[in-house]
Amino acid sequence: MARSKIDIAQSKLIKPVSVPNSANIAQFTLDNGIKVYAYENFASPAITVNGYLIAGSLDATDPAKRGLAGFVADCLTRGTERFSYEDIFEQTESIGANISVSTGTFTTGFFIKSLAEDVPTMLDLLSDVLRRPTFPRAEVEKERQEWLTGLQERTNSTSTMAGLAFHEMCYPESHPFHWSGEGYPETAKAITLKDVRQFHRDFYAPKDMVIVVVGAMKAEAARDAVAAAFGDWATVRRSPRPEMPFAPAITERAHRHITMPGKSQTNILLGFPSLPTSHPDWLACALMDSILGQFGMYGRLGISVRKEEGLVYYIGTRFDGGPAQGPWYLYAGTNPSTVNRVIEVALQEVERIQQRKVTPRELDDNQHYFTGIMPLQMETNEGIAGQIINMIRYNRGLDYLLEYPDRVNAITLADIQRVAQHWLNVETYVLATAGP
Amino acid sequence: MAVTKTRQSKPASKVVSKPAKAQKGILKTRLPNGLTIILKEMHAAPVTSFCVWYRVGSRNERLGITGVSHWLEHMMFKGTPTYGEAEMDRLVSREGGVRNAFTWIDFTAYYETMPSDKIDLAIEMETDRMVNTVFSAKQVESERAVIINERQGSENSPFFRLLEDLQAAAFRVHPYGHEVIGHMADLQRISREDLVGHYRQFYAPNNAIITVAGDFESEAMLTKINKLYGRLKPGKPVQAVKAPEPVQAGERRVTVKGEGQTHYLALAFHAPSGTHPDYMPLVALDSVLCGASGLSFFGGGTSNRSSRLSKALVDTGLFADIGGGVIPTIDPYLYSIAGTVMPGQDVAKCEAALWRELDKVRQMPVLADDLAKAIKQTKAQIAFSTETVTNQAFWLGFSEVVADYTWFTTYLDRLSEVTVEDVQRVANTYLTPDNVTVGQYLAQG
Repeated sequence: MARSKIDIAQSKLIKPVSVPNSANIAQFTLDNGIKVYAYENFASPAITVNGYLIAGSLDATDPAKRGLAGFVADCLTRGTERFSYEDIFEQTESIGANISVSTGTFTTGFFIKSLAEDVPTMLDLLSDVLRRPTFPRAEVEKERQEWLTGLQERTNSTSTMAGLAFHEMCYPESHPFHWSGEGYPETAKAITLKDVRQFHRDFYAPKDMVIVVVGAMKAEAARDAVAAAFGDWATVRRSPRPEMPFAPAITERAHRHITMPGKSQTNILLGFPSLPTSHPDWLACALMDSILGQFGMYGRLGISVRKEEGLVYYIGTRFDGGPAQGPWYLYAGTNPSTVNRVIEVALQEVERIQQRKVTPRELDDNQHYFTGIMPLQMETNEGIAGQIINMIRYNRGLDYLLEYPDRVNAITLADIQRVAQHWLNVETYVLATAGP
Repeated sequence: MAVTKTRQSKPASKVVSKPAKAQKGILKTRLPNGLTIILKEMHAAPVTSFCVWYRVGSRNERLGITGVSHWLEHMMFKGTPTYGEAEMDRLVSREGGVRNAFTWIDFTAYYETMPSDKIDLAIEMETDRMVNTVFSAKQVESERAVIINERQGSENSPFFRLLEDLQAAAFRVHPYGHEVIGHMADLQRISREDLVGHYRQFYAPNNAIITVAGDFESEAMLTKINKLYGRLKPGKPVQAVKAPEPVQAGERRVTVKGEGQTHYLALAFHAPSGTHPDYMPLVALDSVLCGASGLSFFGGGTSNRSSRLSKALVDTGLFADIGGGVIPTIDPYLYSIAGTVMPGQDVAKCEAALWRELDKVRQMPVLADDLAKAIKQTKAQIAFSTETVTNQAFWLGFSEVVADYTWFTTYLDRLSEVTVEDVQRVANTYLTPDNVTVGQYLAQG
């Protein structure tokens, strides 16, 4: 049966799902280029503000200063022209709100959660944090010490160490994904206060910044509150963005084991560079990957590796996607004595999904899942904001969610097999393990 | 889909016991077989969460079968004669739902959150597996390996190893002293018979609570639940756990040595149960010391940068982070404060600084502003928690296990009644050197 649009109104009790779309998302562009999207939801007295600006680790090009972009974001709340570090958190925490800023490869994201009545206060605070940080020396040094502690702790985490090794093998040194966005102890020590201030001056600017407001607030009020906080920001980005290099395919199998004495379990990561979210194959890949390693309890892998052989507590697969060639990977944790068996059985499943079409029932189940889960994904303001951000970030258009069920249901058994054959590989991959 | 016949009695009378007076739009009732039902309509989104709580957790275990409650939770996903092992997961996912389960010291709970028009599936499956779960010898062995893997994964964390030893040292009589996942030796020897025995003893309508929150009509929901669950026989009354922990009469101390370069410090104080009059003052004290805890089942809460301990111990470079934990329990449990020691700092010096802050809160009343802040934080957290039906079903059930559901619905009111004198009194009652177990993880490089 064909399923079109989202309409699960099958009883008097159930209201149709009002998915965010171009008719109910209010859009505004401020004179300085900031794009504002507002979605009204009066189900609770809460508000979520989510967004990003165009500054990330891609912009921090000095190899000796890896982790700079993330460190700058962490230091933003250490003091501004109007608020001290103590003021920022006293003001935020005394009203039960949350404010955070974090950086990825491409963007610096920010997030506010508060009661609707506190939104103007929180936007004012966010504005100062993003636009007018003062980076007080003493506070920056405190932040550096916390950063170094985090870097020290990660050397004792099998999952993080496997992740670092995986990315190092998966991407060449010339590619940003080779390196840890959090940096390294030596780079954390090398970054100067001047570097921090310079990075902020060069890259934090309003052009193409996105702010999404979801919650118990009229759209016009949201627009006015954002305009009051950010409308007069006139900074222009000083340096062009470096081009993202191409990530070549893995040409030979490689394995690196990180020996970590004292651990009980070994973490496994196996995979290769893969496709960006904007690729036409993305949705078929996502469906295929769900069948392989996610649906129900870890998909086919969950049945063969966990349920039938009891080899793991968790196992799964994932396409990272994103704006560039994020990796596809298989992840699991197991006893050191069963690492080889887990990989063997898991790769048999990868091979099976390449060689034989999945069953019509598997495809149908997963198509149902992809479309049926939408009401849950959009139950909270954060969930709705996340959906809107994704539509914007990947240029999907604001009616993407209306078209989404048709797109999902158009994918065929042959599509699943084709993308499994094209995007998965059981011969050449990198394997990182970390454990005793 | 019909529920199979095993362990079922005749359908119950159509008359459900008269629902208790609704409070804040919540309906509570009990079926003749003892099943407690709590319903909360929330019509903001077309989703419903159906949650079944069993009054059994690691508190109901003895040495030799520690971890059996959690293992039984795993076995509940192994299917019934009606629903095969992978079938339940498949059907729920196919309909756009999510499901999971959790075992805690006081309870084991299972939930499905689904589009509201599909929630009947959850009710049918949960009814079925309350009495018809299959325990094949092969599945028991396969799951033994899975759970040992789960435990080994936890053991990779130094913090888990520290807290496990801390908990064990804090309790010498009460079964709260062992981790929910159980001792490794017990996981290697628990038998199929142990699991089935635990299931038969504790999984019955008279030992269960159903909480439903979401977009439904209470009357229709009650009829559905009664139709399926009303047919089930009650089990034998469950014996209460009677193992009162003797009063601690002096400091206890545990040291765990292990890999890594980062030291951790944790203090655990014996604390009152969730229904004790001192519980809410302790919540307020925790908010002042460590910031308000989130009321979201899925994490959240505010950051913890303006709390007393963060200002005194993190801002001064002794700890990289510090936090507190107070949780409602049936019997007296623990209030814990734990932190990550900053590299290069001496653990003993950090501990002394922490004690100085605790001395201050015992000697000097907190400010009225501190209490006002805790209340405002909690008000916001409660507002945030109403965004998801799963959260609501979770807290209604959690509260009913520990006290009754009004424990949650009156939470903010009770917190608002706490005075600065109450906070100082509980600080002096519980945060004392004779009531503490100190745990330190000393990294050996």
